[in-house]
Amino acid sequence: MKKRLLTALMTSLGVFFFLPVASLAIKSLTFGKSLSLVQYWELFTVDHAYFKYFWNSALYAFVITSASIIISLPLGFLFAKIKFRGAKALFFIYIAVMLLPFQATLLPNYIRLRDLGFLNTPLALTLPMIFSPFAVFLTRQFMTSVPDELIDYAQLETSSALKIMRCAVLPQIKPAISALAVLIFCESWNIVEQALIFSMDNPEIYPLSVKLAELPEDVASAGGAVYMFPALMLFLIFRKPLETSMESYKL
Amino acid sequence: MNKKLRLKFLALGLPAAAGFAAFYILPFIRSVGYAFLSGGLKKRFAGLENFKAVAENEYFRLALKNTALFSLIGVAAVMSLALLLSFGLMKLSERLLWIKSAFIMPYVLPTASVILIWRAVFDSDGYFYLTRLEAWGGFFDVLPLYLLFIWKNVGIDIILLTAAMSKVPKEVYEAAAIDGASPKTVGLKITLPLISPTLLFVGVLSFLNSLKIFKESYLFFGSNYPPDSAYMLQNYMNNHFYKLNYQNLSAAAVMFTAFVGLAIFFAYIFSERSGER
Repeated sequence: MKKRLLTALMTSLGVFFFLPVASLAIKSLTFGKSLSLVQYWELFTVDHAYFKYFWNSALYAFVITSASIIISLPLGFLFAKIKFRGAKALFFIYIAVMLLPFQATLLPNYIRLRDLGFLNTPLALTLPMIFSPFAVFLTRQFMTSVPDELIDYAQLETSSALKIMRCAVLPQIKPAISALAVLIFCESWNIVEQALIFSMDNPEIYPLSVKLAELPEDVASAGGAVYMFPALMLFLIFRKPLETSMESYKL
Repeated sequence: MNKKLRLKFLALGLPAAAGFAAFYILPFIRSVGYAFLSGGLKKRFAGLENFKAVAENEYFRLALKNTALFSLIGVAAVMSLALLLSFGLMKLSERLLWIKSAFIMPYVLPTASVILIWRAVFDSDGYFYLTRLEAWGGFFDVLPLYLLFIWKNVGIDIILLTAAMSKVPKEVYEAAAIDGASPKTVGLKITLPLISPTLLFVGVLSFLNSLKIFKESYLFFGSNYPPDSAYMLQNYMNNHFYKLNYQNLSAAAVMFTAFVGLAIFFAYIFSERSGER
């Protein structure tokens, strides 16, 4: 009896948490007081510059995700499996910077971008996030679980570092890496602060997150729903590996 | 691993390390330098002048106060809820674990979409009247942000807490059951102490996440100038970015980083101490 009460309570809380998403979906499917697809029709046919910013967001999220994972894999491997002098101190710096609040890293990012002349260009919205310590930290966490014997064995077969990564290390942590990709994608799909500061004078290259609010009221819900859709789908598809890999946030 | 292969891996790891140094470490050191320089064209060593100017700025004080209050209440609320939900989830049967996903989903959703619903809910005359209640000191202005923060961050806390809870050996619970301990005693006297390192980490993580509330605030209020009670540190910093006031910004960032570093440091010291007892 008690267990059933708990189940009912937890289920209703779960539904309650889902409510914002559901109500956005429902709102997007109504026009006036009746159910209709008019909002979507308008969003896709009338030019609200919506898709211009949508593709900006897609480009940033795609570039940040792929670039940061590709360059982080070998460094994560170094930290996890290869002993070299200063490794511990270096990894500590990575963790410290990862823990730093946004307010502290924004200024250093800004100074570098300014010196390179990248402010107000798409590079400003991607480079700092590509080099963010989060991906290195998580790949290192995943790679510590790869057995040493496997890597030793792979070395007997080949002397190519890339081959060792591709054939011995990556197959072991594939689900974790896909989950990491989803996390980084969703985070870069959602950038706001970077756009406001690093691209102060060039709103043309803003991501959709900053521009969504400018959509006319009568198509806003559909616009919000379409914007939410990729993140929601990725979550539903990668639910299991996502939840497991979030456990490795633990230091 | 032989030397040649090690060198190859070092070379492959270099791009990420170089970029990290270029965008995070080196300019951070420079920004610390800025904090001690005077503004204007002729740079000179200014000692603590910038820090004094920031500390005396009434908006910085307001922002610091609001941020501290938000973090304190937000972290306490999100952690209590996460703990309760985690205890509940641990007792659910296996096939109902999809419920856990409902709590985690908000973590990945884009804020701009979610804000549409928050605005629809809180943008009413009735709610506007509540925000004008002076006795509540602007609490109702910030309440939507608290709810957004909790909704978004309770999931990651739950994941970490339930992972730690499921690592507590079954024998411990069996022994407690034989001794006839009530579920409440088991939770408070056995589970909580055993997961206390995770609890601390979750606290730190929630605290760091509470500092990221700017995104929600900016999109909800539709500008960088929210009501006074919701004016946080990042609003302050953003406004100074627009004024290109690097000295002031650097000093604020350095002070803030030091403050956060100390807070985390003391949290760990405190937990070490209480662990010894």
